[in-house]
Amino acid sequence: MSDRGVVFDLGYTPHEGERRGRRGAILTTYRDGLYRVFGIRRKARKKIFPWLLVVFAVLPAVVFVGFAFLLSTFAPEADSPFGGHAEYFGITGGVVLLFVALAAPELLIPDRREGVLAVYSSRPLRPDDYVGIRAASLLTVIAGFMLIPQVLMYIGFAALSSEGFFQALGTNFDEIPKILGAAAVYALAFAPIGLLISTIASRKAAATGIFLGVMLVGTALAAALVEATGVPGHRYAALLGIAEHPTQVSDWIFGRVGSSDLIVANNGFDPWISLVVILLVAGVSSAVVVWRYRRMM
Amino acid sequence: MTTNPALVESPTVEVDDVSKWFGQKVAVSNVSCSFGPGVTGLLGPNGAGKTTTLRMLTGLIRPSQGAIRVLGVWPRTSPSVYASVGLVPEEAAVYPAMTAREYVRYAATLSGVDDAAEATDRAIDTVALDDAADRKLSGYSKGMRQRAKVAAALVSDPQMLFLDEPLNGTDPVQRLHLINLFRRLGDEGRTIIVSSHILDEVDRMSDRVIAIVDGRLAAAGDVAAIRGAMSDIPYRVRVETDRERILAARLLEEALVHGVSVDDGVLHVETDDLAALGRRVPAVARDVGARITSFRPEDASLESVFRYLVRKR
Amino acid sequence: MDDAPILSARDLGHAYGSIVALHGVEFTLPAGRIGLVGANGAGKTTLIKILLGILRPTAGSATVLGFDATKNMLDVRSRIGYMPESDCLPGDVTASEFVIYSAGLAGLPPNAARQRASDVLTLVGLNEERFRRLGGFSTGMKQRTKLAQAIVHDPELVFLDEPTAGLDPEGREEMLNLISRLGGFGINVLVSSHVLGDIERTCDWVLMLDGGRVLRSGPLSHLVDADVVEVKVVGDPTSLIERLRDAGAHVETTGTRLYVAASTDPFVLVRDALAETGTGMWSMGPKATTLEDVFLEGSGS
Repeated sequence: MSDRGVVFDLGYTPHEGERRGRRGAILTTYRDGLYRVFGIRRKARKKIFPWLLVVFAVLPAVVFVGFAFLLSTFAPEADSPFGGHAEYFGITGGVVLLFVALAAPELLIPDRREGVLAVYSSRPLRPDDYVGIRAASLLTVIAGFMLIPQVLMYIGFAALSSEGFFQALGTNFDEIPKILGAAAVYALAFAPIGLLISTIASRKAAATGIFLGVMLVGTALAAALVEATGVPGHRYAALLGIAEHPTQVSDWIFGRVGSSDLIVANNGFDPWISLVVILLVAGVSSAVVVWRYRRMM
Repeated sequence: MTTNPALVESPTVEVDDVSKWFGQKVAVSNVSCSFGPGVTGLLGPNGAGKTTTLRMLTGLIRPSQGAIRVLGVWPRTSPSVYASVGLVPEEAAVYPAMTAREYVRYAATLSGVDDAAEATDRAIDTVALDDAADRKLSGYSKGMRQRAKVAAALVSDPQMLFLDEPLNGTDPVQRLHLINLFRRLGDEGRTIIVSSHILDEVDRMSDRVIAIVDGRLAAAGDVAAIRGAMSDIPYRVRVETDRERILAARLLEEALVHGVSVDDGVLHVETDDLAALGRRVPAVARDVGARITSFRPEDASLESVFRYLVRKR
Repeated sequence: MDDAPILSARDLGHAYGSIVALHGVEFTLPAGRIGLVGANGAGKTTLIKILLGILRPTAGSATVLGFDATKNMLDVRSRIGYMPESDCLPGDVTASEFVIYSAGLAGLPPNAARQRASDVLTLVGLNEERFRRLGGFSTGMKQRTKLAQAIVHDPELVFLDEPTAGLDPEGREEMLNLISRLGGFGINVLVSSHVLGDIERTCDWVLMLDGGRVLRSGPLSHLVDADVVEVKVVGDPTSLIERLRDAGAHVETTGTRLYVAASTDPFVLVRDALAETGTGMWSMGPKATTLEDVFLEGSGS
């Protein structure tokens, strides 16, 4: 044995370090879901739509607060023509709809089509984990879309309030559970259906199209069929307007029942029925999604 | 008279100084060889000209230079020649909604076969798909789909058969069946050209091989002869015996032995003349009382030959 | 690697509706490199899916590295790697990104994931290519990437399903070498392949399935019959055969191959007969039953 030289075996070295098990797998997948829907670490064109939607979601809030500031400076007596938290959900609701149409397929379809599920099946994840984590990523982003502008407005209006910032925060505190509730309703109305369609469709474009189709056609069908006075039970066609249900429930939460012109409301269905429909559809969709993925993983 | 091993006496398929380039890239460069009755293996690394050559043979693409003749004519200009050619390409999709029988029948109709129904039955029987012939192809395993493709190629009773990875996805039983089938068809006088990466199987199926490496004809002929032609690479033979060192020392005294080495009780002998070594070793072993339990050339198989061909670049 | 069995099954069965894919499967497989062979439809894929926890068997049980494959699926999945036969790579990321991601999925912290991904990609022979998108990869490169993601997290056992599919001879050679080396790295291997030659080359033990049942499970070395000598000669074997029979040996021939058995040492007999008749041998050795022979004999074809 010589003191003068040594050769290291550069072959394989075992991993003796930390292994984070299921937790690590969950976090890695969750983060990947977030990156995916925003096109992070992917081609530039995948970033366009998501970030555009972010702008659409947040910009109005900035405009609202900005305008309120201008008013407070130059015309303190005038009322802002823009609404508050409740009305804003109408805008973000639309943005979220579009976002789910694009994001749900992105989250589920490529992995399935390219066979990557096989890789997940050999990692420390339970059969239901994968789809649950994808749903969590989707819901996180939806929450972001819905809540960030609301928080912006909340803080912005409080800052402009005549009461003083901290006072205003306290006064309007009861808006917060309403905001959270309405956000949850929209999320439940759109995300499960989006995930269901992306579980069944095999191409992203098709899934996006079908989702938007279901939403738009549903409303159109509702509008048309309720007029078919000759058909018994035509009134119930109003329930097909899926995209409208969260708006009705949101109005209800904010105590503004009847303030939006909705087919479902106009045909005598109370908001709680909308809520039931949302929960039912969410439940059934989720069950189908979980069931199908359980067989694949 | 010296004959070129790349050419056969009564060729049915001729490749005459063929080159093919795609823009700047030269895929095939001055290849001349021919094929005749029997099974010929077409070998080569991926991306080194073998697939391009095969596609030119079947008329799918045109050579940039030189000529390809199948039964004397270039297939693309004389489509009637196709009646004599059965092709089993690697990627060919099969119609999933059809049953195997329908698929083969369709191929029969396309080729203008006289008694399509009978030809279909015969072809299906030849590839032993009788039991499953009436099930939809979508439910088939990969190996069964391969057999259906072979049946479709055989239905017109072609004189020539070009097969690209025909054993892909087939299980050991199906493999053996197909290997025997192709040998039999070759023995019947058909010209069968098989392209495959699993050299051991090519060796079993074919009488001679053509190897394309880096776009050029790297070797042609039967395996033992090709190996023999590699005069700069001595044969390595592995010998297991109870007196390896003594035998090693004695063998080193023989002129035909270049070198010996002993590794972990196993003796390796290097020589240029494999046949002569095979004659000398028993006598030498008997003289020193060495009991030989194994004597095997390590690098005379098609696999080894191919490895040397590729490494020479 | 210790000596505990790495895979076992007890009365394992699985049916897809009325189609029985596996029935009464029992085996105990030791550590090392195991080959899984069987005809299409013999149940190999079903077996692998059960061991991975993707399928729940309709009867019996199986263990992987000592853990029940169904009840302790998470323990199993934490210790294994899988190289599927089918495509499993996303087209829009680079090999490097994907292998790092795979490592993270296995629970490796970010720095370890990056380091190991880099090392493993070098091991499988992907150098500058690793920074290119997987969508543009050739079959050989894809297979290497698939192997990389299967071992990046240093699993105890890795399942390789048709690892040489689509590879050219050079690629097959390299893949088989890599597989052979895995044992030395402390990784147990289960290779499922239709190319019996690959199994013979890389594995120590073989599990043979046929029609949903175990046909055979045992070490490959047992496939050698030391009482019979197989000789392949160069040229005319007639004088050799005569000489051997005169010496009391029993000789069978198929083509250029001779099979010699005798009450005295057949190896010495053959050696002497060759020397005396001056016949040249091409090869000689104990009669080896190839996997193919066993397979065909057993599956009754």
